[in-house]
Amino acid sequence: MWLMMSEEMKIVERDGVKFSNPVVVEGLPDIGLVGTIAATHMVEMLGLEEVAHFESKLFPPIMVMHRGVLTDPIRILGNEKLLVVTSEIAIPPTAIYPLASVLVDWLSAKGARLVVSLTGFPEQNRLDIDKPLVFGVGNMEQSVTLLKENGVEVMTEGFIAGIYALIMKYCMVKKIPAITLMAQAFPNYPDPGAAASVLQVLNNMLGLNVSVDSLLEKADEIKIKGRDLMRQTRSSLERVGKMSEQEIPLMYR
Amino acid sequence: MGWIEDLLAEVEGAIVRPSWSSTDRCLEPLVEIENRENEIIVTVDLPCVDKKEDISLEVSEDSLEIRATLKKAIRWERWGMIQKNIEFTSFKKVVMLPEKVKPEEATAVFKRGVLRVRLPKARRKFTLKIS
Repeated sequence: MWLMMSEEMKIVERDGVKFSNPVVVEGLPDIGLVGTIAATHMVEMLGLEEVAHFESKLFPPIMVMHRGVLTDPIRILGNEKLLVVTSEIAIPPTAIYPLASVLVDWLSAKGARLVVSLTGFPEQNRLDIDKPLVFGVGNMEQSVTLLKENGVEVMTEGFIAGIYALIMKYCMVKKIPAITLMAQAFPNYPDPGAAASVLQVLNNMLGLNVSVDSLLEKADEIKIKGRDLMRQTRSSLERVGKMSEQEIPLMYR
Repeated sequence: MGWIEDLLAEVEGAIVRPSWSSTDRCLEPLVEIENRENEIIVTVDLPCVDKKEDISLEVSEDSLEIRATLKKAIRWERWGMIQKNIEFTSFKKVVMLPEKVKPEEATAVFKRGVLRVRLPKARRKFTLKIS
């Protein structure tokens, strides 16, 4: 067992796991549960196993049962070269800073070469959109170049709020290239269509082959199952100033 | 955010109701309420509902009741102890409106699994010209 910890949070790693400059995909609950839906689908399609989990008294006292096995709700799954961070509970606002900090310290120790966060961008007219567009944010020149090379429109002005904003910031400090892919999404309903859009961009970018057909086929089922997590997430997002993403920044350079 | 809001948010989290009922085998849909100047817009996510004929709406001055039949019954065989035996057949939700509305002027549209109900407010504001 290997530990990365701060006073409030720790990552508990399984024994015998090896890493070889992994690419990391972060899909924690946020707008439209886009990241969580996409990350969960990746885990299913690629058959990824748990490599580590988070522990903290800042999390609600919840464990999850899967096929009779007791599991922590916030986990890292993957293999030597690809890691996926996901959660089955909303991240409490008080846990966001320590979680982002401990995660990036751990990823730095593992030699992560790229961190990609998947999320949604609240779109008021989502109902009229067939295929959500995907925008990107990068934390350094190298990340922005990667977005442009993959045909992703880069956001150049505006606020970003939530855990992925901190992950990108802490990655910048550790000199880890990080990007966030944001798909137009229903802000308050689980959005498998938006999750499919970010996965398609991720497929191109990382050379993955995660089919989104089954994700779209199961869209209704995912939306029904995601209602409770969406409710929790909505409440949590209201408390972290998520609506500031819709505001116009005063300072232009 | 002040400590009162924090406390209220915690209490709300602690007493959150389940989003399903075993008594009438229904699920609670996700709902958004938008309070505009002259109208209230209620949007309801209704996955697994096929067509508008499967939805019934009852509007009063201060509430909206939504019922919708699922295109097929849903049962999650590995979920919980009691829940795994329940077949859910519909959505049901009563929304208490933040202001009084004119129920007879309400309109509704169902598109891609999302229901949008527009409810004109009983007390509406009008633009006044200055002479």
